[in-house]
Amino acid sequence: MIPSENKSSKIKRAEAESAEPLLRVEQLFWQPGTSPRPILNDVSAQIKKHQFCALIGPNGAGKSSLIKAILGFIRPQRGDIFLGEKNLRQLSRLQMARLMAYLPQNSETQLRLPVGELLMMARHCWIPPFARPGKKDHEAVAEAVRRCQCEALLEQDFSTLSGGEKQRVLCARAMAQESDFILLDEPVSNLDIRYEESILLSLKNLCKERGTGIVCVIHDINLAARFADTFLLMKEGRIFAAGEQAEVLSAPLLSRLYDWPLEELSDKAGRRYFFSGQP
Amino acid sequence: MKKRRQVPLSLILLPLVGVLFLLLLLAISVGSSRLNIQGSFQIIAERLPFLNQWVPRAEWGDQYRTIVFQLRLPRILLSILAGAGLSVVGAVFQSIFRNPLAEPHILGVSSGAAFGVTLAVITGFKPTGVAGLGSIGFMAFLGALITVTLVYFIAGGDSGQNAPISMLLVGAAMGTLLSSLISLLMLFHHDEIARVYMWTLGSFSAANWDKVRFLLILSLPCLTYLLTQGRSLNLLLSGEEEALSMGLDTAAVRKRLIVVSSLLVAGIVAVSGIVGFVGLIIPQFVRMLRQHDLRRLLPISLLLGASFVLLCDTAARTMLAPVEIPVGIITSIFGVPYFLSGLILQRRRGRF
Repeated sequence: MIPSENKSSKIKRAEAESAEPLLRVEQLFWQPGTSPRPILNDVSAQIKKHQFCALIGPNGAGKSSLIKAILGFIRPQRGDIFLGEKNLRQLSRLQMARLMAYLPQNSETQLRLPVGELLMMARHCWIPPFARPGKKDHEAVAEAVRRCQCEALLEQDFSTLSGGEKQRVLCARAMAQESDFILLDEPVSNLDIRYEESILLSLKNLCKERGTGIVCVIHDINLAARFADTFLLMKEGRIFAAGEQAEVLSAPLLSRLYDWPLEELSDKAGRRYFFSGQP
Repeated sequence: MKKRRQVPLSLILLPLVGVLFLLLLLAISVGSSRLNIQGSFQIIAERLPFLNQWVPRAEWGDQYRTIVFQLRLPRILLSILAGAGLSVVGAVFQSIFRNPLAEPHILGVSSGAAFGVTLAVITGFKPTGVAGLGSIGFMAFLGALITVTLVYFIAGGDSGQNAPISMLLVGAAMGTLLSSLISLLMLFHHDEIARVYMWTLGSFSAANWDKVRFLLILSLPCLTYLLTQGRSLNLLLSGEEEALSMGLDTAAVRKRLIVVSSLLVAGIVAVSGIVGFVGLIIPQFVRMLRQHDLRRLLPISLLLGASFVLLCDTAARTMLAPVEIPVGIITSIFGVPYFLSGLILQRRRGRF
């Protein structure tokens, strides 16, 4: 599963990683006024760059809320979030946008713009007020377009695209933001297998080639097993388990996570599949 | 597979400036004493630096100069400023509330301003001089700001749950309430009824240079500010969370935009009463021309709105002359069908 590397490159990578900022969540607690129980209960976790981290768990476990808390959409009552040495709560929105991008399950955008213009909006945090997009901005958008294969869509009106095309464009938008991390909330839940695979694959490539940390809420365990390096398992507002694929992805643990019997199969290529243990 | 090619913005704006200028000359010419367009141009040019050396002096009597400069021009400039401001504020409201049918009048903001003005007038402020207008304008601003804040929070506030329809309902309810209160106040102040009534229907008939100066001083900074906010408004239309994640401090930006918009609406209402639906008609029309980018939509709306209200006001004072139709009646006659068809479209598509 872990690609074999020679020793020196392994050491180099370890050095690079240790110098990279770490996304650190410390003892987050969030209970909205209307909720009878905390949605996030003492959640602590660490997420590295250069890694694709899958956030899995049953519905209502607090996965989306954790993503939203990290992005600052909700303000938990207690706890802190650090990126490297920076406390995210003390940063402006603009500074945060340079560190983290977001890809929602569905865009709420009501804007009817050509895709090219929509992508350029991701550069908001880099373009000074009143300035026009510069060379770097055009390059960033072009690279994101290439990575997400949106070339053919550039001239089209975003609102006329299909669901899969839209999500591919939004993925490119998140990439064009050139942040250290991209956080995704079920980015492929409504898409057919072609978009599912191509979007996750382009994120995986970005993660490997540029070192962007990916944090992805995902429901399909098998998709997660295919793309993710590390896992955060959440249940009832708490971190249930965390670690590399080999450590945490096992049928017994997942069965306890979902309160449902699960079984595991491996194919000849070593891919692992989890499925319901019910007949 | 719709392909879109963008026309350069200046190629759209320049003809619109030309149209506005022609309409201005036309509006100066028509009325109970008629001039021709050439005459209007000459009379205006006489007073302008540089131009007066090139244009021959008009062969029109001095009474025409008085009519043009004391009666028609202030009124025309006032309607241009009001049209520009109302259209831009309409487009801004539609973005910040993410509601294609938001508009100062429909959201009750104009009525809030009108209520403030009525209070000011019955407590004895006179709409003369920039200072007097300033105090009335300040009351209008308070009324507008309080109303828009109430409407926003009753309809769901920052929670992102303000469904477009509920916001319109709250706005309509507030508008009705405030209009009733204005009528109630008028009952106790018989001597002001005629003046306040004419003015609640929206009219530029009481225009003078003081009002033009007042509105100009207010409009220039407000419009300049709003026109530079296209990028932020585009982001706001992307949805709350997406805008936040792209680095826009949505709460702060929205607050600033609401304050500046309310100030502008208040100033317009203070001098011209409630001219409704302009902020709906114009931006929607610009969207029909497939200009959805706020950086383009705002300046186009500004020029088109100025021309539209100037045209409506010219119709208002000439169609049934010597009877004046309040211009607000004309814009409503245009606006209500527009609003209703917009509601139907919104139900069908659920978006802009």
